[in-house]
Amino acid sequence: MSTISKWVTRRTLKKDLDAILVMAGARGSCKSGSALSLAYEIDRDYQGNSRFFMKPPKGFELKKGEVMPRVVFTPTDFLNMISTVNLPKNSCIVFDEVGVAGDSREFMSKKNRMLKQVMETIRSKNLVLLLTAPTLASFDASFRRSMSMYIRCLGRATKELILNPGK
Amino acid sequence: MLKYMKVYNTNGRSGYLKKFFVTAPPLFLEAPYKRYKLFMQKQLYTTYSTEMSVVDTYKVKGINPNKSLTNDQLIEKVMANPKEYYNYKKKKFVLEALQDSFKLSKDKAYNLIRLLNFKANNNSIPALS
Repeated sequence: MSTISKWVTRRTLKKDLDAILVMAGARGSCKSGSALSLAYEIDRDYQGNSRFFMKPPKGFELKKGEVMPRVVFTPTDFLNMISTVNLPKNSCIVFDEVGVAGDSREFMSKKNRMLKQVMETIRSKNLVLLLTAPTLASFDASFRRSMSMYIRCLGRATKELILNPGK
Repeated sequence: MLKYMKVYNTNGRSGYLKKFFVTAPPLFLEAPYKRYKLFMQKQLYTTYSTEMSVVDTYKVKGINPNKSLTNDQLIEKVMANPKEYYNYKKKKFVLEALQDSFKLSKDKAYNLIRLLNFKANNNSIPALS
């Protein structure tokens, strides 16, 4: 278990807090990929099995052997996930492209205000939210105020993948 | 102000976590995620394109089709239905009516109304008599 996931689980399970991690970086700097792998590592049950899955959304089909990661793109999906699905403590939700859903230029829209109120009151659920955006300024300032960790993604580090992208 | 995460190594020495490496997610998670992202992107772009088709029209208020017409062409348009623009009591054409219906500037409307009133005084408009 990495230091980040240890820190997050201690925060959610022992300290009775939530963890809102912001993954920021340029386009193609593996924000979503690292958010997925971090969430896959953190979101485990007491036996150590991953539970970072969800029901596939309407109109979307999975192939054999695949599982749907708990990723949301829209505020409605996010709010539905929180309100309807009974998520246990330390469950991860990846809110991808939060700059589109909670744009900083629509700071007084109803959508942004609702999301802000949710972010402020979500602590008691002890969830782990991973937000991805190109910069800190691209999403609403109120989300930024409630974040607990900022991770700057710098891109791929392995040479093998860059040299042989087909691998 | 940036605050780095404090970490301790096995010897108990403290330091700050400034860089860490994350391994790639497993394929059975990454492949459906990528397809789902494409699916959501398609939805987003189609909704935006339909919204833009409403907003993105080039009918700007300043562009007036009657602006480029000459006085003779405008008079022909008035002659088609002169009673709408004529005041029978004062025996004159109404400036505001012409200005509003053809969206003309004040100068152009004055020019037009002078010509029309001259024609009306000479009884050269048969529809009015």
